[in-house]
Amino acid sequence: MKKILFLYFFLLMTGGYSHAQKMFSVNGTIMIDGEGIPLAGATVKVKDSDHLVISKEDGSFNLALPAGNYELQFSFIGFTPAELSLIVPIDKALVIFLAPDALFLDEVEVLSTGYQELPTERATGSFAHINEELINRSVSPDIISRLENVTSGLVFNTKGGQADKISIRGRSTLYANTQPLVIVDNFPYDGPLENINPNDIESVTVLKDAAAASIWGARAGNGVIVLTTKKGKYGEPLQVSFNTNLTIRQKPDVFYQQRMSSADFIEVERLLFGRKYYNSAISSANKSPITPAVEILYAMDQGTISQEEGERQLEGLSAHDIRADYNQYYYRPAVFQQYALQLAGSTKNQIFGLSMGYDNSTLDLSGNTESRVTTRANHEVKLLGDRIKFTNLINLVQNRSQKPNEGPGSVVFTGLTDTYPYARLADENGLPLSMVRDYRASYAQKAESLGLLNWEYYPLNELGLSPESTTAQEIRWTSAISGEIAQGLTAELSYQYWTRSAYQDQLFSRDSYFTRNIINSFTQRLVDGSLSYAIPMGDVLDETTTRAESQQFRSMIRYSSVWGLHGLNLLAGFEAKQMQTNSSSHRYYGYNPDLAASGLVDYQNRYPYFYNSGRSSTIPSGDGLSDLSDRFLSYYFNAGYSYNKTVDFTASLRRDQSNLFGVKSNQRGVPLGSVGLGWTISQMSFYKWDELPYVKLRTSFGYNGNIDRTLTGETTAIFLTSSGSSTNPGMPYSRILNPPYPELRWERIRIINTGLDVESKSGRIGATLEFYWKEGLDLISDTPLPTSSGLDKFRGNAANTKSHGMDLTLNTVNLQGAMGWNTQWLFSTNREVVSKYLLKSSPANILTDGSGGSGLVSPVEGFPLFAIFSYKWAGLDPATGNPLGYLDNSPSDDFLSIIRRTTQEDLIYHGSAKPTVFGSIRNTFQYLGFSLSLNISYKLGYYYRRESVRYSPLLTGTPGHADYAKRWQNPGDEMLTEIPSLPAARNSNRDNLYIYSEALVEKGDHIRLQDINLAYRFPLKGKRASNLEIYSYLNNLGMIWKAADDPLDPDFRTMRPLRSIAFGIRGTF
Amino acid sequence: MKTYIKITLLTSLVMMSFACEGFLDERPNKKILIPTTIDDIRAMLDNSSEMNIVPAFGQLGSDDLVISDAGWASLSTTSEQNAYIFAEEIFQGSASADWEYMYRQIFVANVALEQLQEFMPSTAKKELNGEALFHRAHAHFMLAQLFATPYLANTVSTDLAIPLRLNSNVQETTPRSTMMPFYSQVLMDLKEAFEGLPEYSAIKTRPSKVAAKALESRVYLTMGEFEKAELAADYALASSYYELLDYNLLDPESAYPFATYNSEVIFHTSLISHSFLDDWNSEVWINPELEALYSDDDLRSVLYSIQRSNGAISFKGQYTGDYSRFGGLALDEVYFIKAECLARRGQLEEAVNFMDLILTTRFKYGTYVGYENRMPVDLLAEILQEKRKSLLFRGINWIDLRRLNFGDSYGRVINRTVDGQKYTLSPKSNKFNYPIPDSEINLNPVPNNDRR
Repeated sequence: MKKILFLYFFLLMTGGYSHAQKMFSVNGTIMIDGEGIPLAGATVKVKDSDHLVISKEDGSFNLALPAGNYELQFSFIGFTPAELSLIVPIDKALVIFLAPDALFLDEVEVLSTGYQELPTERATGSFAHINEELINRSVSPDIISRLENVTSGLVFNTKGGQADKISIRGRSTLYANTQPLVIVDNFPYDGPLENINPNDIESVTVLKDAAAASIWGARAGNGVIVLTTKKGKYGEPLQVSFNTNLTIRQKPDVFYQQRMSSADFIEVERLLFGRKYYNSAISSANKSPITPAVEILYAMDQGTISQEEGERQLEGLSAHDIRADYNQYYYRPAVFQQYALQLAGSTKNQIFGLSMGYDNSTLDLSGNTESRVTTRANHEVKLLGDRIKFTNLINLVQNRSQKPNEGPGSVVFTGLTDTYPYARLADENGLPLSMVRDYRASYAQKAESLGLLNWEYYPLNELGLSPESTTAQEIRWTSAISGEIAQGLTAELSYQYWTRSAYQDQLFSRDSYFTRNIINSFTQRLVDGSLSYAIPMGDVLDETTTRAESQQFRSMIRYSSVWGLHGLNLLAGFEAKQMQTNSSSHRYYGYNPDLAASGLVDYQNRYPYFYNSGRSSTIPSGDGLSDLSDRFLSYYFNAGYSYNKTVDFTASLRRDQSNLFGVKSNQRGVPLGSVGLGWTISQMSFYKWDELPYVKLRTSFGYNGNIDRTLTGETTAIFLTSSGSSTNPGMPYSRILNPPYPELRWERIRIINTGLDVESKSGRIGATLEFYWKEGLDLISDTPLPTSSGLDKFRGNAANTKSHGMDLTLNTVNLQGAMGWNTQWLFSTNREVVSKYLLKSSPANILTDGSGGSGLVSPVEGFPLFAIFSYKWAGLDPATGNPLGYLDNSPSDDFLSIIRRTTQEDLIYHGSAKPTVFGSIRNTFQYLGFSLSLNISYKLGYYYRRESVRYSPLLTGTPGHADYAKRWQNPGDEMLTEIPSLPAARNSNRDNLYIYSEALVEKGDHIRLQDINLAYRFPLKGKRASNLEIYSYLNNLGMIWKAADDPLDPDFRTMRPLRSIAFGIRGTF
Repeated sequence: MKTYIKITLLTSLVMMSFACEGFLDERPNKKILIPTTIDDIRAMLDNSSEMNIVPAFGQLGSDDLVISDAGWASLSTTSEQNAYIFAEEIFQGSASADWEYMYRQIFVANVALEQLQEFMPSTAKKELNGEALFHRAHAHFMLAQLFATPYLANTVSTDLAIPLRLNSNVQETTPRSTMMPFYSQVLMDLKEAFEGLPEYSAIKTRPSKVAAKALESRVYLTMGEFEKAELAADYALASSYYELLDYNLLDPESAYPFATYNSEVIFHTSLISHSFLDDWNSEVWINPELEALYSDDDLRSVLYSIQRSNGAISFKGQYTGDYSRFGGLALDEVYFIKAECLARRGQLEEAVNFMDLILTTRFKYGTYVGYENRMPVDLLAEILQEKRKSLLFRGINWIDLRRLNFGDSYGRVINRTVDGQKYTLSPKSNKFNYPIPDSEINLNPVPNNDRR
């Protein structure tokens, strides 16, 4: 292969001759390395002078130089620059080979599985490799988000939540872990992924199929992401590199979600008031809160204010939207700063590196900040004539966060999920205003006159009164020793110790509403009328300490041998892991931070609440403890055989065991394995096609596994202590968690992968095309049970899934020369169906959980795991504005019967809820030192359900969707709107018929301009490896096209993807 | 280099042998256990928030309460709204907490019973076995009072009860059993429970022999087997651990005048929480017709009622000692069962004795007038009325209504008015059976109750 990074040079024995005495001619030819093609237009420069020439059509150049020592520099855009020292005069013509730059063509990709490194050519499985250049293309504090849209087959799920963030080639599990295994420095990483400094990462290998990943056995089912850190190289002198950047991200758009206007909400409150809906709250013994509008309506009703005055006040409320206040008082643009510095060097038998990083984020909630300091040191030494290699690596991470701003989510009204939409946080002069929260305003206002603490709630005054802070330290130490025992036989022992301690506290100062409320609630009025405080005056401090620790040990033997045309690589080993996580939390009442002292409270006895002496409770204690432990034992074997660099055969086998609870010992483990075959056709003697000098076919088959540690084979119960409000306070009791399930098995994923790699002459076109078939077997899933069994669902091995798809990666070099242009096309498809599911999901569950948004699954055999179904929609009833569905094939508004009698077969199937086709097109342009890279991403072939108004919650006084304003109101409106009329009474079936009808299903297909990276590399004088670059990165630039008319982004339903811009500079000296 | 091989192999061997010696036996979560000891089973049955609750929809269907229009509008579920107005559809596809939670009790009891079989005989084992059987019988019986037809002696072999669950295998679906085997099983469980249970338990969320007898008495009464009901009641009445409260000694100003585990409580349970039972809900009232039956000196009226700021009168007289509504077994109920049985077999004087015994404690000192001076024409009707006046908001009225409305002449028509619309529940109506929720029928296709 031609992809060789370093420069060859040698002198040809053609006769050079000298010119005059003074000037000597230096002749030479510049060739493309490995191709034998002359390179025209390349620059030949005498170092530290202005003397330069350009190579001619045939690659030749001619310089005239006086006698002396020189360094020549050869460069051409798209090629790795080269330098050559020479003594003029010379008597031979030079031949210079320039190697194509990594930016234009793949560098020699070394794939890492965490157990071994292998060149792409020897691979039989499916790997995706992301080099440092691509990692650095985007700017973010973490590494994982940088893989988005540059990794084929990997998709970020914007709607699945943290537990389902990434999927590699679709999801192959229902309830077990859905996330890929992440390997750092050859061991599974136990810490939070946000703690990995992307500047420490040299390359990323994504293992997608069984041949690639089955070496990780029972945890490889979701794919594996192997992060290779920078460690320096032998033979490189001391290098210092740095990178710093600043990212500014726009303020969150508080108005993004479509919420009903304040005026509309007051209209609903008026309607409910007329129906006496609020009467029970008004007369409640709990002093239940009532919104200001209802207070006004009540006052009008009681005659305490006039109708005109009341209407005027209601009008005043209608004009305001609290989100404007959130925008003004709670949010700001976020700013992320990143600084990284690295030193790396080597001696003859040692390499060493030191790296430091500091990230500081001022978050978008005003006042909240986070910071991370990472430190890494690595050292490797070769002893006994390179026969023993001893490697050590230490990684330290310190996280700090300060969050004095609890965000708009902390502004609540008891009984609602947030608060009433017309609340005002400040008056015209910016002075904080009070809001109704837990009690009737009139009651909260008179608290002080009763001798209590002020009981009013001023959200803006709360900012900074209950600061939450976190500090965490992480230490990771990896040590490995390997020695060559005999020719080709190496033994290796490695060990990793990892620990993370986190301390989190929240200090509710005495002036905070939280503290005033809890002190007031537990204040007791004694017989003589005086007050006594069950909770001492002072701050309340909540703290949680978590300590996690893991140890991993690995012993391994490698054997490699080459005889004749045969090559053999064997690897076998044993691994043990234990991880322990302990946490404890505690609350201090009457805390005084100045004295580090706290007060005493009685957790045993019940105290009546001050606001309703009819109810009582013990004082809430913040105590909690947990003790978790994970253990694994694994044995593995891996073999690779190659013949004549033409045929490659790989096989792997692994057995994992874990401390699964309540299972028989033979169920604790699972054996998994794979085989793979590669055939480099272009190496065969019959292969003659020069235009396509590299063609390789490969295929693999095998099993990966997944694990769900929550399941057990025997009945298990969790042990708890009765709360203070229970009948027997403090009494121990237990709750049954799992019914017995002796048939429990591990999940397995069977994968067949077939791939074709081709590369054209001169590397202008390189492509990898892969097809895969995956089958999830014995997947753990919930099956609904008749509730007479005592449970409503049961979790067991109840489902199989089947998926197939393709990943295409196509790299094209469209322009070479002074102006460079290349393109990477990523195109993936993934089609998945549930092939076996023991029970029939009910239509109601298919609609509510089938799309995956609820965090639950509701599989239907023969359809994707996440699918969009809907009720057939017959529009609105012209007379009533009722939604119409179909009952016995004719339009009907008998909601209950429609919902009860609609079967799964009657539902309309729209399609998958997750993209079935996705990818990106990344164009990179280069001119002189400038480079511009644009990434356009697309997701196609999927559906989603749009939000709209639900009347049932609305009719309990909960604000709803803006569609309320566009609802059917008068006959004839059914021609203009599909939004049903406001019903007379709550009817959740009527809501569901509309919410889950086809009227609200939209196509999710879209194309977006994901990001742009613009960089300029300075042409530097100085040492060989010098490099200085400034760059700018713009992310989330916007939608180019989407199929739906919906104003909201199909993938981002609650907040638009926020735009950001980053500037940075990086260099190496 | 040989030493390195040795080190590698040695370390591997050490690690592997270590592995075999229980490396994988570490429990993944210290809080989670396989219940294997007596204490573990004890803890399982002490889960009072699961084990000490009873269905509440009977209370909602009874004439103990009246809900205002506003209160009806603000009931948090449409199931509650439907049940209050005796609608044909109740759950409308939503789940029924009453159904689910009671079957959960049965499941826990069955798990306990199965685990207990592994133990060597001991007193603790016998007691726990008794407790589990009691819970199973109790839950089955209470469920049947909602979801099965009233017990009618002439159709017991054809009338459908509910699924009778006698093992913890969750994969098994169980058909509805007929009334005869259903009630025999409930009684059999109770009798076996009685053998194992302790005479008395100070922690009254745990059943005792007396509790088993008090429940048996209630079961027989429901079946119309008055002799057996009386026999069981006698056992409870003979116990020295329980005695009637003197209502004169209680504080009417207190939010909850009756203490938790007071001397009348035999077995403590609460009605499953629903919005119509919230103690702060001032739109749910004691039925004014019932309220009007108390005389001025009747302390029940004083201790049971709370005047709301809107002028209405709500109930606060639960025997739980807190805001939850009592649904358990108490001595006062046993007195009324005894009196009823005596009256039914013509022992009027003795019946009157029992009535005097209990009612004296319910009136202001010196105001109670004994029955000898005011013998009612229909003593049975009088006993039933006093029972209703004493045991309101416990769900007992519903159980009585069901049997009385299908039996002799003591039935009542229940009327509701919501938003001007009238709704009626007449004696012998099919609406005394709640429908089995869809969540059950969908997965266990048993015939549902016909409520038309």
